[in-house]
Amino acid sequence: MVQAADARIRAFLADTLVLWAVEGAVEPLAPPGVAAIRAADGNVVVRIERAPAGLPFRWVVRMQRGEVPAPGRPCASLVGLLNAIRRALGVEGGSPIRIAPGRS
Amino acid sequence: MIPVSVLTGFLGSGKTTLLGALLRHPQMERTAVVVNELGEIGIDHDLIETSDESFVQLANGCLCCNVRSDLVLTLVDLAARRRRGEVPMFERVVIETSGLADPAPILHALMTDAEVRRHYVIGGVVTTVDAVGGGEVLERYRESVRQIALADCILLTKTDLPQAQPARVASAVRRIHPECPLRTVVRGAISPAQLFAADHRSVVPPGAPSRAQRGYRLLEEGGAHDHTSGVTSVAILRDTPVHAATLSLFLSALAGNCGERLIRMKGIVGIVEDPERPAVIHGVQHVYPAPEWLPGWPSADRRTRIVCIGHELRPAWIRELLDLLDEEVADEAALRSRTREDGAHGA
Repeated sequence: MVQAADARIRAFLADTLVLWAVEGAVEPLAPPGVAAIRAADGNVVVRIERAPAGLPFRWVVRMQRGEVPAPGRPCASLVGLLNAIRRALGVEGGSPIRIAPGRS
Repeated sequence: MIPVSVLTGFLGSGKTTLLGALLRHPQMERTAVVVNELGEIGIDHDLIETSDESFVQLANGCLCCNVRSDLVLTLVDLAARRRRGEVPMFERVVIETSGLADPAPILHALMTDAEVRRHYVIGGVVTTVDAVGGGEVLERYRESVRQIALADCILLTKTDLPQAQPARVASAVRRIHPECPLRTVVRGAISPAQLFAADHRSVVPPGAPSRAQRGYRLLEEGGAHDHTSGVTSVAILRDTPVHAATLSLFLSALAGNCGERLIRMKGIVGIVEDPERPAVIHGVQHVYPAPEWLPGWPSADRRTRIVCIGHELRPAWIRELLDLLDEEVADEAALRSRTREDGAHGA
């Protein structure tokens, strides 16, 4: 079940790269890893893991510099995960959401 | 609150003709008009018969580029003069944009400026597109596509001219904004009541579900998206409600990942925590008013319906985003519930 969920996340991340116009590939990782994002030059730049149970966040994103992954960045939700990956890949994001007051 | 309607449309699409005809209608007596013209010599003022007191001409550049300094000050000043009795007690404002204006910054100002919001509410966006050159304009000019995408009511003009190609232009318009009401109007002959019934928040016109359904089916069967100048219209239909927390995460992710490519989003959303009271959401680019909670579903159709319009959006990505976020929120809620139960048992 986790494998299917991980495959679904990888497919979503691959589609996200297309949305961001980033050339790269999303590959599976052994648990607790979920996905590695490989840049167009063949180097892995980001590793995504599921956070261990009991922690107040769901995902860990690690930038890979050379052979050693950098310390993980915890993300509480998929939104945070996407933000972290975007930052790691240097993708220009959109504007932060702005909520205007409702009708009075 | 005074409704503000935005009348937009590309250069030469018939905005001024329409406005001139409308202002001769008795129902438009109590209407203030703000006209934005590019160029130093204002002509529209002479073409539109209305009272000088409630007519404001903004001629120093494009309204969407000067929206903060000009439009906001103008609207606030108009409201103050109305209160002091210096102008007639107008009950509606119509802003005619320049032909090259992007309506989005105007809508942002109407949604977010505190002083403007004290007096005004968005009444709707009416977009004119001419049946002669409209198709070509939509192919070539991004501004015109944005004007269509942000419309609450689209008027096909100049259909009486021999060169008119109304079917072709209507088809191009439909590809950008499938569910928006589209009307034909000849020399501005349309009643204000018909025109201004358009509400910026409306998702599916009440009593006209078939139009919306047709649009959605087209999207689903045709690979879920259409293109005109790279514009995609994405429809999401869900039989099951989403969690309230999902909604804010979804809007945040759309704004953060789609950026300026997302022109408009609107929807009626069933909420798990209060399924009898759907939330109405609508946004322009990354600006969203707080969701409005309806007292009940407006029709027998209780499905969540969301429409996103933008440049090169990815329909499958948007749908999967909503599904994944809702599953994540449901999972989190279940986890917290178990933790609470465990805590209660432990105590």
